[in-house]
Amino acid sequence: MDSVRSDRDAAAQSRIPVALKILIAGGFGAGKTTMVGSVSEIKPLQTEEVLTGTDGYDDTSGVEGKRTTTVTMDFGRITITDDLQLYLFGTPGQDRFWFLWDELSQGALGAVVLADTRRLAECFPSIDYFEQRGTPFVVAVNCFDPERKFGAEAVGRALDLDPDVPVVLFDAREPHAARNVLIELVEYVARRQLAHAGR
Amino acid sequence: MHPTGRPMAADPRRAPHDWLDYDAGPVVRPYAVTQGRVAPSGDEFDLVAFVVASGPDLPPAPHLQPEHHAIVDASWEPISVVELAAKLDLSIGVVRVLLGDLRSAGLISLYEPQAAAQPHDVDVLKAVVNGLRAL
Repeated sequence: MDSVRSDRDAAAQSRIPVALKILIAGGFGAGKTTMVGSVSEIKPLQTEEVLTGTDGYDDTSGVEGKRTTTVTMDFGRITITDDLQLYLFGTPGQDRFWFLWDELSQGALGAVVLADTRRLAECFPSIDYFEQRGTPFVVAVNCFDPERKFGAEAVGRALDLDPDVPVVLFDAREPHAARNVLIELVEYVARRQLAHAGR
Repeated sequence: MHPTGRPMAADPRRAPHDWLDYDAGPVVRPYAVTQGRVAPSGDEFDLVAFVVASGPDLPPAPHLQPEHHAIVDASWEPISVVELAAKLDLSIGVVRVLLGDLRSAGLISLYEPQAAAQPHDVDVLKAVVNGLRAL
């Protein structure tokens, strides 16, 4: 019986794809949902995390102060091969959901920080977060408005980024452009890995 | 492939009242399905952990809810936790609790993502880049 079971487990295990997580972060309205939608092969899905918390002060009775909050996360998938899949997660925008980011970043390959040049400061928290965690990231400037083009270098300087952090200009609505941002990220992660190994 | 185990009452689109449309949200509170439990039994698992139903010779489990059965039905082929939640229209927290029950009952196996540990293999990264280019 046991060997039948372990054979079956081994067979199931061999069907499990390698799943890589990529986070799509950025301020409100920077295009996270759009980007996940434009590259995902499945209809981008929204899934909810229902949180139970207290009102911010310690409630000794423990029940009255409890509330639930619903956070919606976008996610999409790209199948590279039968045994290799990319999962894209749009991170919840509000600061009070940082702890959800911790879970999402666990084991993540890297992150794309979307920047909107009209509201550049909105991506500072994301950049700080990934810098602190040591998660590799690229900055993708979503150019909805062709009138307001800035050079990638100018954006990098304005954000005070490490010089080797890639900055790309793109249109989140274009699947090809969004795909190229992901390529940029994965190549950057590979470069970092090799540099690390060579040391 | 519509989830079969969804309780009718939880689907407001079927409700005859025009004041209770889909946007109003579920009429059953999310954690009612788990009897109020918010954490799964046993170890925690990743959002991209994969779920596989154990096989056709399942032990009888009369205490399971329709949502448990819907999960088993959806996981004959490996499926990630997050995708399961989206497919069954249940919140991730709820799905985790239900998966914990199913794992304890021996009805499913959970596999942590193979590449979740840093650093990522450069060969895998190259395969990802080539795959993305080919899209």
